[in-house]
Amino acid sequence: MLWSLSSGCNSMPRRIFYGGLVIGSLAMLLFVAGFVSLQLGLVLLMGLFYLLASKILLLALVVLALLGLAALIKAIGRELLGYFDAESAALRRLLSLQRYRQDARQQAVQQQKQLHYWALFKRQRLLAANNRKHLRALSAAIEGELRAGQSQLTPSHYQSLRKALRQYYKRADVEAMLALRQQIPCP
Amino acid sequence: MSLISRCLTEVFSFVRRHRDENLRWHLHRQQDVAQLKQAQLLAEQALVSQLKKQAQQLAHELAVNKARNSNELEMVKTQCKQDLKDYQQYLQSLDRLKESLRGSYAHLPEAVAFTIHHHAKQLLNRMWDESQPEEKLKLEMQLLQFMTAVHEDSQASLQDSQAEGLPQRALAFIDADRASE
Repeated sequence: MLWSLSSGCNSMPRRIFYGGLVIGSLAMLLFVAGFVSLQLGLVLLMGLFYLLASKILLLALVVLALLGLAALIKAIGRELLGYFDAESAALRRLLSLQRYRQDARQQAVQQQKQLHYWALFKRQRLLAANNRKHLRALSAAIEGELRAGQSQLTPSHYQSLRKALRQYYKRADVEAMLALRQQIPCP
Repeated sequence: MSLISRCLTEVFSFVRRHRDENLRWHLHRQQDVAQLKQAQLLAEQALVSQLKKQAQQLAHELAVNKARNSNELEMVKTQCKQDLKDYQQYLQSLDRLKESLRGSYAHLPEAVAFTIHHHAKQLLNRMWDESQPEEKLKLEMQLLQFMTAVHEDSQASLQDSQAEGLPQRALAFIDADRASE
């Protein structure tokens, strides 16, 4: 702040600052005078001096505070001007365009990944539907064979095979269903 | 009194000398300051124009990239749709294969037909999941050979009514595949 005040074109703030300091010094002198008059026994004079000194010190502090506030406002104004000038705006635009380019690259990669994922998902769905259809036909055929060979099985064995077949069908366990078929006696 | 006035005169002349020197110093460097300001202004303008040019180039590149990316995406979308359609057609042809097998062999158990169809489907899925083109081609040849074997079995069974009740070549193919695995 002092540096900016001491440059040639800023003499006004410098004068105000020195003026504030001078007023403060005057207040200090009045305090000293009041102390001296107290020592000399001049109580009324002391009271007057102290009253004046306190008011003048307050004035000095207010002047310095206002000067500080003005310097702060000036600095804020300078920063705002620096933010809104052409160079900063052009740099901001350039940086935002670079960010857009990076985002576009990432977006393209992710979109392609997503497309491949959806294609795989749809294919798996088709495969699952096809598997279900054929498994249903196989299960119905094995159940038919089981009913045909029912006479050669005990009722409990027959029921357990039927139950096992239903469980294997629910689990889509092809190997187990084919293995169960081997256990069915030929009619 | 003259002492005070002498002191005051000294002080005022000191202040005046100081101010004169300050003024001379400012006048002396005024031209340099003006040159510096102009140079700063020119540099800032040059920087602003360079940044604007770069931003323009980048905006153009962005537009080109956007068009290219959307084209590539459309191509990938079309390719994926076509792949899915091809896969569905393959599955349908395998279903028809199973139906023709059941039609050709009068008493073929469903389990055998299922096994043959299941093996063909496994070959199809292995081929579809394979990323290496040579391996993919090999698996496709294998699948086509298997389907040909099944067709030949069906035709042989239709032509010769006294043939065995099972598609021997297809089952032999399956056994050979399982042995090689």
